[in-house]
Amino acid sequence: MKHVLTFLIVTISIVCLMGCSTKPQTLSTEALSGIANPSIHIMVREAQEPPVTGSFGWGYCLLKVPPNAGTSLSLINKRLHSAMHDELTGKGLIFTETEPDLLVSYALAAGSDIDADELNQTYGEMIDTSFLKMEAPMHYKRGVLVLDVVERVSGTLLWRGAIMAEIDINWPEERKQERCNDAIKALFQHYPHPSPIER
Amino acid sequence: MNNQCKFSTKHPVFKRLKIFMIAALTCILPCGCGIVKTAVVATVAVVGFAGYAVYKTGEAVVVGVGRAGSAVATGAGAAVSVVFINGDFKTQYPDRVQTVWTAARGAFEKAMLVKIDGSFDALSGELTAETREGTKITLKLKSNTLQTTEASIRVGMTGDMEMSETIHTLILQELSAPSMPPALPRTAQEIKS
Repeated sequence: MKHVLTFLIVTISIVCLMGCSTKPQTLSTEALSGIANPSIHIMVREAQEPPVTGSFGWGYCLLKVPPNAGTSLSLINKRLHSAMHDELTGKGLIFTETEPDLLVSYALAAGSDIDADELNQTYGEMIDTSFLKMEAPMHYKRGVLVLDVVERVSGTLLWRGAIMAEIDINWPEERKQERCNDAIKALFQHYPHPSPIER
Repeated sequence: MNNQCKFSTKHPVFKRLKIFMIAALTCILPCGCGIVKTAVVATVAVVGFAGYAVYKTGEAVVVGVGRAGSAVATGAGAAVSVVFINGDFKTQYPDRVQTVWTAARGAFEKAMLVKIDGSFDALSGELTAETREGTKITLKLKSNTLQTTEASIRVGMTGDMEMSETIHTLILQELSAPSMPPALPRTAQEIKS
């Protein structure tokens, strides 16, 4: 009886562990227009479900680009906002300029790395970032687009997604909106919850 | 009277303990996946915030070591950091307040804005103007370091990123334009004549 019990416990333990090993928290990425070697990093607040109903509006826009890059920042802003608007309304959220439930912000760092501290400081007095206790100092490498979803009233960061990639500088102007759409879609496909793939 | 406790597998307490352990293991094992899954997340979550689950793909480009470059543009080729938040266009210039204020005044004049007014000292400055349509433009300057100035540009009541960027570009042009040659000391011959 004793041996049978031991055998059962060991067998069940092995089966359980093997089952888990097939489900790593890894995300999939599809081919993206004008973007090579994309890496995605998603953070989701565990204690609060990011909503897919209610309203959203724009938070901050942070752009770090090389000087004299010949790129209009306001044009980049329009493209990104257009892509984010389409993705979020497609999920059931409604855009409003006044007192939205969610603030959606972005940071685009093409000319340098970007620090998580810097992202948080950008909010200024908009949200209280003191509770965002980092487990390790972290920064995103050059060529990154970071999207934030914050609950406006409580100032809680609910979701943060980042895509880091190599960007084709010679990408045609008329296809830049398509590239923005692809990058935003690649991130927001993991909103409200990432969809880990099975290996 | 023997008070010594004898431990035997046939003891009723041990039997109850065995039943309890089997029941506990039966309950815990189905949850095993969840526990291990959490452990996987926790491993990945080394680079993240406490209380946030982290998921990733591709090369681990988010790193937990080192620091990113400063937001302030320093030196040729450094990235310029621009923030547009609540209608304010915020950026930095690698010059002192006086230089930036003078360049901004020149930019406002080039843009043919009207009612240009403002003042500055070594620590801060402000410049206001209006477009011909009566839209108010406000530039606020604040000394960040001795050679760096933080600037905030606001166009109208709610802010306009496109117009703010135009003002910003004009200021950059003024800052990079060759300055007026300094007045040379007059020679003795010139003084006599």
